[in-house]
Amino acid sequence: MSEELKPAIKHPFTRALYELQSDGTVRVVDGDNEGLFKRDGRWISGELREADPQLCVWISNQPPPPEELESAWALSKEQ
Amino acid sequence: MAEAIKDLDPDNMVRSPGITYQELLDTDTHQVPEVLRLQSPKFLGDADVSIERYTTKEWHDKEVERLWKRVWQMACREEDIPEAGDHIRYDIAGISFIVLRTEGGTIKCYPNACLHRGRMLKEFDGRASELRCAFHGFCWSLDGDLVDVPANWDFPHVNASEFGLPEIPTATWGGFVFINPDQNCDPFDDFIKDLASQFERWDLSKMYKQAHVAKIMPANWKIAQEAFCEAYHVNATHPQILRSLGCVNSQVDVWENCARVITPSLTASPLLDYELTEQDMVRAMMDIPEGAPAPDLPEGMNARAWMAAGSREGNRADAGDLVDEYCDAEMVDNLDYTLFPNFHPWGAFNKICYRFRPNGNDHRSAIMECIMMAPFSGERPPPAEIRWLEEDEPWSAALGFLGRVFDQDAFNMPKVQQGLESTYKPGVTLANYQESKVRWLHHRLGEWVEGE
Repeated sequence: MSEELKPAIKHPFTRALYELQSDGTVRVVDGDNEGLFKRDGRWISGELREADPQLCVWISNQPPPPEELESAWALSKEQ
Repeated sequence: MAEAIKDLDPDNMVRSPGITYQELLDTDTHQVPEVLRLQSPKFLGDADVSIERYTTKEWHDKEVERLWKRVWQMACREEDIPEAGDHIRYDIAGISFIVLRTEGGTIKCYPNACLHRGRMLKEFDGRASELRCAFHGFCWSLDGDLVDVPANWDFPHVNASEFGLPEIPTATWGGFVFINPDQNCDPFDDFIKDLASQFERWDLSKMYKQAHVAKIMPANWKIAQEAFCEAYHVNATHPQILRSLGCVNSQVDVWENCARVITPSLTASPLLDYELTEQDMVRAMMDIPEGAPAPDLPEGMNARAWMAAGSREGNRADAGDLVDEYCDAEMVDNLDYTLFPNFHPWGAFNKICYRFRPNGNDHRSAIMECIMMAPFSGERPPPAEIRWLEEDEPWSAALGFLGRVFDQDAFNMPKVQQGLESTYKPGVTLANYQESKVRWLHHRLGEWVEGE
């Protein structure tokens, strides 16, 4: 995964930034605070102790490209 | 007793702030079909739904006896059994059926049990020239007639004319095969009429099964099903799409045996207290990472029209010029229908079709399936075989982007089951409008299971 295209999204309510790290953890930056979280939202480190678990689930769930999906199915081609 | 259902006046009912779905349809660039102009909001009471429906084996057992053994239910696609002898095994709550194509081309269904000693006749889907039991060799034709009894001298008491396989009622609609375990069931036409009238424009028989994915989910089948029956959950479960989905201003319509939730895409959620640009909505819809550029929209074109135009072109090769007849709403919105008790086809080109059922007789686990229906041109492509996901496999491994969304719903399911097992509160509380499809399902369930 390239640094420039690191999956990242801002939370629609808090505006905190959720960013997938290369080891599968999620870095969350909320104002001046940040924290590192597991895929299910469990805290690992940092002064920010809480994150939205569903946004951690979302950003850490990066499926293979459509051509590599095991089913003969490539919805992503139309997304 | 369940409260009586009351019609609501769509023009004067309590509803979310923000644009209504009907107002959104007024902005469509194409003619909006009548089916989308229908409104059937209902008030189904506001009493809590008892948690025993999700947590007790007693309720499951009642569901088996009073619902699953009596109700019409989708078993497979017609295209799954195209040739004589093609058969699928359909199981519901520990009961197994064979659904097959006969030599004459009709579809029949039999209990999956030998009439001699009761062994299951077919363990797997496949193609067979006859139905021969692997235990002692009793054999039936595809039409269910007894044709061979090894050492039949020892069975003078078996009269072939009285030893045919019992026929289970079958019916087809939209390319789907339905069965009813009750040989004295009500007519299928009465069961399907509400849904069929809604789908006259969206002929699912002309689609093919592009994908079929299944997984055992660690929750009661209704917990799994209800995760897909309202859009209220989007704000907490799918926050990433809130900028492009009109979640709480979805339109919910309830008829007797079907209901729908229409959730508009590319209109911002009324729950957000800030303005979004059309490009913001496109970014959210396309899951474009922060910092990466979003596409520029043509001058004067909003996000809905732009995305709909793209979807038309994406579908044109397979769907032909039919795409020009479909309005923007049909191309981009989420037209989520439910036929009682567990069948969920989506309208237009949304492709999704869910089915939820108990996992055998374990009331704490369910089989969730997603069938993807797609248009095609020329010869019908072969239907996708079912792919079963392992316990630790995400839906995204099979369904990509869409599977990512399911994985968020799946993340909740075991926690809902555990919460309901732990709560001191005897019932779950539902929203009056947004969750009225969930309440309708329970209303119908009450009628079937408790005779309400």
